[in-house]
Parts: sequence; C-alpha cells; structure tokens
Amino acid sequence: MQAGVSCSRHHEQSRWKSPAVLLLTFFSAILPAPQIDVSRDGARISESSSMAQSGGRFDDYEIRVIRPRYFTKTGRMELGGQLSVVMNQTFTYTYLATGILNYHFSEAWALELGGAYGFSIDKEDKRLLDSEFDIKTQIIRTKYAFNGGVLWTPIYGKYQLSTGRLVYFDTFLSAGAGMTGVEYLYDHCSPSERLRDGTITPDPPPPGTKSYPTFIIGLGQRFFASRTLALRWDVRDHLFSYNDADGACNPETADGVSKLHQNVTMQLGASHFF
Amino acid sequence: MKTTSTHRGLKARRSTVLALALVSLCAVLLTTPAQANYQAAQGAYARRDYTTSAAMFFQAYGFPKNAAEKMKAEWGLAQSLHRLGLLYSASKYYSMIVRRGPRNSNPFFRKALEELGNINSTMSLGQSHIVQLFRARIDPANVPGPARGFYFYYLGIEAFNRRRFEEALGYFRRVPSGSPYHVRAVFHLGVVSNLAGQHSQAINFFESVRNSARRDEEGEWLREVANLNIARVNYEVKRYRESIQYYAQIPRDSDNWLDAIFEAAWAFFLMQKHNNVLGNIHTIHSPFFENRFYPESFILQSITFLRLCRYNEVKDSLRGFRDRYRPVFQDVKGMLDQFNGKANGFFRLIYDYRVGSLDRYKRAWSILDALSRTDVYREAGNTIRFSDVEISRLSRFGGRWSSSGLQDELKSFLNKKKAAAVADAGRRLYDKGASYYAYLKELSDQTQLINAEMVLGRVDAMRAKLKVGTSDQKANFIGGMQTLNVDQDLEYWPFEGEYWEDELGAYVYNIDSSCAADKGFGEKKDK
Repeated sequence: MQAGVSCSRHHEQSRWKSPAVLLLTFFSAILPAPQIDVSRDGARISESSSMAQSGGRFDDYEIRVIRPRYFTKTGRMELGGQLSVVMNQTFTYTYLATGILNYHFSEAWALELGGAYGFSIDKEDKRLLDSEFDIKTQIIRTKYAFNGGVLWTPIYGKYQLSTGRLVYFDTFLSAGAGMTGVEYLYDHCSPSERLRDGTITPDPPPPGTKSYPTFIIGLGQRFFASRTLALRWDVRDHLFSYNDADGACNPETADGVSKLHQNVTMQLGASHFF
Repeated sequence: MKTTSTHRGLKARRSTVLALALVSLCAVLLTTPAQANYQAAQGAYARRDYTTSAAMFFQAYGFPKNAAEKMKAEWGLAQSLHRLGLLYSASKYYSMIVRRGPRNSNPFFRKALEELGNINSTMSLGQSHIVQLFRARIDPANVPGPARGFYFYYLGIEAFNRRRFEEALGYFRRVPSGSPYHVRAVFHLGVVSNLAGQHSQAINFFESVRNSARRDEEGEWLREVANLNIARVNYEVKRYRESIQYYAQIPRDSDNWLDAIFEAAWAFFLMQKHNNVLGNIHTIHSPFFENRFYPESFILQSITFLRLCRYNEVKDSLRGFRDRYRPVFQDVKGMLDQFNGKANGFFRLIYDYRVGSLDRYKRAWSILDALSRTDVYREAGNTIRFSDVEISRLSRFGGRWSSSGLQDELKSFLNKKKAAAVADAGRRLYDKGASYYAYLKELSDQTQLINAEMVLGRVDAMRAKLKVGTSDQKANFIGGMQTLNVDQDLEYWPFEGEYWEDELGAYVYNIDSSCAADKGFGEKKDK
C-alpha cells in the first residue's frame, strides 16, 4: 500500500535535564540494538509516568501521541530467573543462578528481593601460575548472594525492527543491600610442616563460606516480549568489605585487614509479570 | 432377358430391406448410448466417481431418451459438479432448474433452490446472478424451509435496492432465525429502521448482529460494519461520545478504519474537541495514506483552525487541499473521458492499480484507491477469483470431459460469468468515480468560499456559523478515539516530524484557541 515510507529514525532526547537519564540513554545506545537498516528502524524514548506527572508529557510539542501504555507494571509482581556471571575476576569464572522477585508499586518504582547461588571454575591462568611459577593465588570465590533493594525506572521506550515489529523496553537503576557469601578453599596454602626453627606450621583451615554485608548498585533493561513476559539484563556492582584474615592460611598470625572487594555481575534472564 | 429382369427386381428388394435394417440399427445405436450413459452415470455417482458421473450425466443431458430423463441428468450433473467442489459450475445447472419455476414437470426445483442457497452462503454467486434467479415470482409455499432464508433475504435486498423499504422490511423479517442469512437480514433490518427514523430500534438490530454473528471471517466483517453503523446512528442522533466509542472498535487492519478515524473527527468537531479533530486528521494526512481519498479532511481541518482563530493554519489547510487535489482534477477528468462507456477497461484500470501494475493517471490514484475498496469491486473481484480457480481446476478433468464437451461448456459459462461481473462492476464503478469527481469539485468550491470569506474579513460571521454542536465537558479523550479512564497508565510520544506506524490513530494536538474575545472557545491545553 504505502510501502517504503520511512517512519522512524534514532531519536536523541537532548532536552532531558537529568544526568542520570542521559547516562541511561547512553547505556541504551550501547545495548545490542538490532543491527538493522537505520533508515527504517529506530528507537524512541518516552517518559515514565512519574516524570509525566511531574510536568513532563512533552508539553512543548504541538502534536503528541497519548494512548494507554502498552506495558504496565504498577501493582504487579515480577518473578524472574537469570544467569549471573562475575565479570571482573582474573583467575576464576563464577556463575550464579539468580532469582528475583519485584513488586512494582508504580511504573517508576519497585522493591526487589533477590538471591543467587553458584560455583566458580578456575581459569587456566591460575593453574599455569601454580605449576610453572609456583605462584599460589588467593581467590575470592563468590558462592551466594542475597539482597533487597529498590528499582527506579525513568525510561520507557520502543525499538522498531526491520520487520516492522515494535519492541517496548524500559531502563532502570537499582540500589540495595544484602549479603555476599564467599567460599574459601585455602587451596593456596601448604599443608602442615616442621620448619627449620622447629616450629610446626598449622594446617590451613577447612574450606568454608563467610558472609559479608554488601551494597549493590546497578542498571538494567527489560524488553517486553508480551504483556506478561520480559527479557531482562542487569549489570550490577556488588561492593563488600572482607577481612583479609578470613582467607589467610594461618588466621592467627594474619593481620586481619579489611579490604574492599567488588563483584561486577552481568545478569541475563527473563521475567514473568503477574 | 425376363429371367434377368426378375433377378434384378429381387436384388432391388433385398437392397431396400438391407437399407431399412441399417437405418433401424443406426437409430438403435444413436438412442441406446444415451440411455446407457444415464444408467452408467447413476452407477458412477453411486460409486462416488463424480468425475465420471458428471461427464456421463452431461452426455445423457445432451441426448436424453425423454424429457424426464433430461431433467434427471441435469440434476445429476449439478450434483456431481457440486460434489467435486465446482460450485459455480454446479450453480449453472441448479439455476437452470430454479429458473423454470415450481411445477410438476420440474421435480428438482425445491432441492435446487436449497442447494443454491447453500452455495451462496459460502461463495457469493453475485447480485446479478440472484436477481436473474428470482425474476419470476415464486409462491413462498413452494420454497423449501432451508431455502427460505436465501429466498426472502434476496427479495428483501431487491426491494431495498429499489427503495421499497416497507416491502424490504417484510421480506427481511421472514428470514428464519436458523438460516445462515438471518444475521445479514437483521443487519438490513437495522439499516431500514434507521432510514425510517427508528434509531433505537436500528441500534438494537445492530447490537443483535454484533452478538450473534459467527466467529468467522464473514461474521467478523458483519460485526465490524454493525459497529460502524451503530457509531453512525449515534452520530445522527447527536450522541457523539457513544458514536466515538463505537468507531474506536473498528480494527486497525480494516479497510473501514480510516473511515472511522475521519467520521470520528467530525464527531469530535461537533463536541468541540478540536485537538482530537486535528489529531485524527493528522493520521489521515500521514504519508502512510497518501493515496487514500479524504479530501473533506482538509475542509474539516480548515474550519477547525478557523474556530480556533488560527488563520495562518486555515490558509495552510486550504493550500494543502489545493496542492493535493488540484492535480487530481485533470487526471480524473482525463480518465473519465477515456473510459466513458468502456466499463471493462475501467474495471481493468482499477484492477491494475490494485495489483500495482498501473503507471498512468498517477494523480488520480487516490480515487482509484477509493474505488478499489468498494463492495462493488470486492464482489466482482471475488467472482473473478472464484471463476479463475474453477477454470484452472477444470483442466484437471481432461479426457472424457473434453471429449464430451463438458469442459468447454463450463469454461464458456465461467468466462461469461467473469465478463458479466466485470461489465457490471465496471459500469457501477465508473458512475461512482464520476460522483467522486463531482464531490471533489464541490469541496473545491467550498475551499474557495472559505478563502474568499477570509479575504473579505467575514471571519466572525463564519465562525458564528461554525458554532454547531455542543461542548461535552464530561467526555475526555486521549489520542485517537480512546476515552480517558481514571487511573489509566498512559504513554506519551512527541511528534517531531516523523510518523511511526503504531502511532497512527493516536495523535492529539496540544493547542489553544487564539481567539482574543473567546478564550474559552478552544479546549484546555494539555489534558
């Protein structure tokens, strides 16, 4: 009928004042947006209800589209499953099965509970350092994490694919607190031995897990596949302080210095809204 | 010599006897196959070998033993073709039976009428075909129960087309409730009631159609046009809010959707919801619909701006009409001149436009587009499509069908049916095209009138005339035809010069009245 009508381009919403919004727009842009013919496909960003109510609504525009929101979250629960990968580790891969439960009390704000449990696999580098150079590395192995927090969703937008199909998405920031469980294997420690001075070094402690209070910040996006299903990714920084002595081969002689540690996780999964 | 002559006489007598015997044998040979074919055809039909039975019945029909056998063969042929799924071909022979009318010498009349009703309920035979069928009045007592819906519905349609509405009402009411024609009859009862000024009753009939239409393609279409008609009745009785609520139920992928958007814009105008009027027109003027024929939208847009004292925008609207439709006049006139009296050619032109192979009369495409969306074109298109499908299927039945002449007979019938549909539709579409041209000229005159009044400074008088309808403060709408519901979560998108297909139909303007002395005349900005 009217084939070939160019109906979309990438939008820049430069009138936004909030640096946070601009930051999130940037992250939206670096997302794996569909690799498509730019002249036909694009993304549009709307304003969340909270912004709209505070005077957003594109008031300066002579023509607007106003319609019922495609995907509403207010008063709905979101139950999701994700695979989390800790990205900032040199010597191990850590994978965590993650569950999230959110309650959205408005389009912009939600409370979240989350939990993750997993395992770590040593990288080849660690084995080489040990076998070739006799360097034993002490590693923070994340075993589990659970947290509670709050989500703020300032961006609601849509992409148009080359097929003409629209995909709605939102972008959110998260902040919260919880506990991170670190597993200590003490595999860098030597077994008990008698030294030249006659003293006997103790055996390393038995493997165990210790928990540390954690603060979390992050950002993520949901892509709404239907009115009940969303694909979701999160990038989160889990910041916690641990006692150096907890991983020491001989805790009695260790200094016991507190150190900050960050786990930056990339989480991919799906959520069901009900 | 004598002996010789006697011998010759005997020889002559023997020759005469032999000749007589040969003639008798030939006569027997000529008559026996027909009888044998009919019996064999019955056998093949009983074995469900309809391909063979059709060919044999056709032979028996061509060379019958007697009149009774001819009729039986005709019925058998129609039934065989029907069983093979060649519905149009079967309808040829059923129709011949029906046209002879109910009489003792036509024993298959009732059954044939019933079968035609069944065929037409699944595949339209075409209005002209059915008019021919019922040209001679039939005593309703002779119409079998299952065919009564078909019979009375079409009598109703014929009376309706002749504007004999009372008579039409009588026929539509006699369509039995179990008939597949009942919902359509109720729909027409609604139309006739509305014409008689019985608006509430009309709405009741359309509501009944909405509730009882089947969940198939035809049922959905009926439901859609029932919604459209309820909207129009409400508009007529000045219940604009209700009208818009029904317009909003027309699905986006429907050919009627843009009509609903346009008609709802008028309803908004009469409710003094100017931002919604302009929003709906914004959809109609989008590049997605550049070939759609809504010239009146520019008039509505200009008078809406006039109401808001936005005179520059009024001029822009009038210029928009001129820029878009002035070039159309020349092409439409040339097109109508060329195809005057050439119905087939005109139909072909619309067909070429529809399939995208037309590269002439580009500036008249909006009118060709409108014509290609009419029921007339659609019905003729269906007849052509169904006929073509049957013609292509006929080639599968070669052999006996071609040697008996059945294949040629059916092909000839189907081609004539197509030709009749094209000629009839072409004529009616040409008339409609000419009426569009006249309509366009009338609108052009209106734009000139608005312009002239503005130039002469008679704006206030014009605005006073435009104070029709009443402002409905209770009715609040968001974009398009959606009512605003309390606690509804909304999404807002700015229009920055580019059109998104999903946003069509949801635009709303955000402007105030510029009238100095009439600040309250416009809508409140920002709902």
